[in-house]
Amino acid sequence: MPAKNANDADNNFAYFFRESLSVVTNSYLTGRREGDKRVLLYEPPVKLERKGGDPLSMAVTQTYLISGVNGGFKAKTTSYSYELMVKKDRNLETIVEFHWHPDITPKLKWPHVHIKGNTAEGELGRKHFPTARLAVEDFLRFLIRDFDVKPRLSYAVWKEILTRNKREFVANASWLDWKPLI
Amino acid sequence: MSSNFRVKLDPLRRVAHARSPPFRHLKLQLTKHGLLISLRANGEPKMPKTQNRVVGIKWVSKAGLKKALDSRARRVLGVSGVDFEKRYSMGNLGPRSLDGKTGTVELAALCFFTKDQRARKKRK
Repeated sequence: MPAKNANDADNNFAYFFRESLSVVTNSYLTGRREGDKRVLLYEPPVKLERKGGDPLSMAVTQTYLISGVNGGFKAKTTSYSYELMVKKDRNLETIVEFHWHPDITPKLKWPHVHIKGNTAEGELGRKHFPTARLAVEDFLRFLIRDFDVKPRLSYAVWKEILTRNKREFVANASWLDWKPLI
Repeated sequence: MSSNFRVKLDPLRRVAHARSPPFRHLKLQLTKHGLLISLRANGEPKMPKTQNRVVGIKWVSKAGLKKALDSRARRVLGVSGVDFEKRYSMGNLGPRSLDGKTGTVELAALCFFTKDQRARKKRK
């Protein structure tokens, strides 16, 4: 349901985003408003608590646009970048990056992932492996499930937050009828 | 142990302690169901600080975001933010211009928020 005014639309969107991130961190996000466009980001990357292994960090950037729809206002994601890094020898080394930036790259409109890995084909870092359109909740679940990132909240609480916010995100998505590879 | 020892030495203090109310915190709250009275007994542990605090947002100026851009440009491409902006505005940062580097486009997305928007308007 669209918000009554632009401020409400902005606050609603930002709240879901912030609440989901609270599952793994308590660091402040950096934000900037420029007209009807917004950016929320973590830069420098924030540390993640982990059950074991080398320390991990994540950098998140989300840009969105507040636009009028059906007599109300709605926030629409215009690009995202979710990055996971590991600290090795005092340097942050990227492991995986989930990107979507259709407005900036007209020839590359699909959501994609960059994976750092060397194969017989060579470095895979520059390849754009197509993915589904991700929400930050998907990324956070991936970190918890596959990289043993320790949630700050109890299992019941964080699961409820991520499920609820993902459901809300899908319910309000304007890209469900979008055909990314066509 | 030490407090017990002191109480034995000072019986008056012991009496004073016994007279203190059996609860420490009284909270009254008017809800739609009526008056809610909550008490916390002496010795009952304090509630832990809430852990599910939602992260905040620090809204920054153009200069603040330039700092973030600079930090990211150095981390991702090994150049300063100013250098990146200059090269980007001159069109020197195509998709293949920095071999083996991803993240150029994400930096370009940030550039929109650090640009002087008034400068983009054409003068009549």
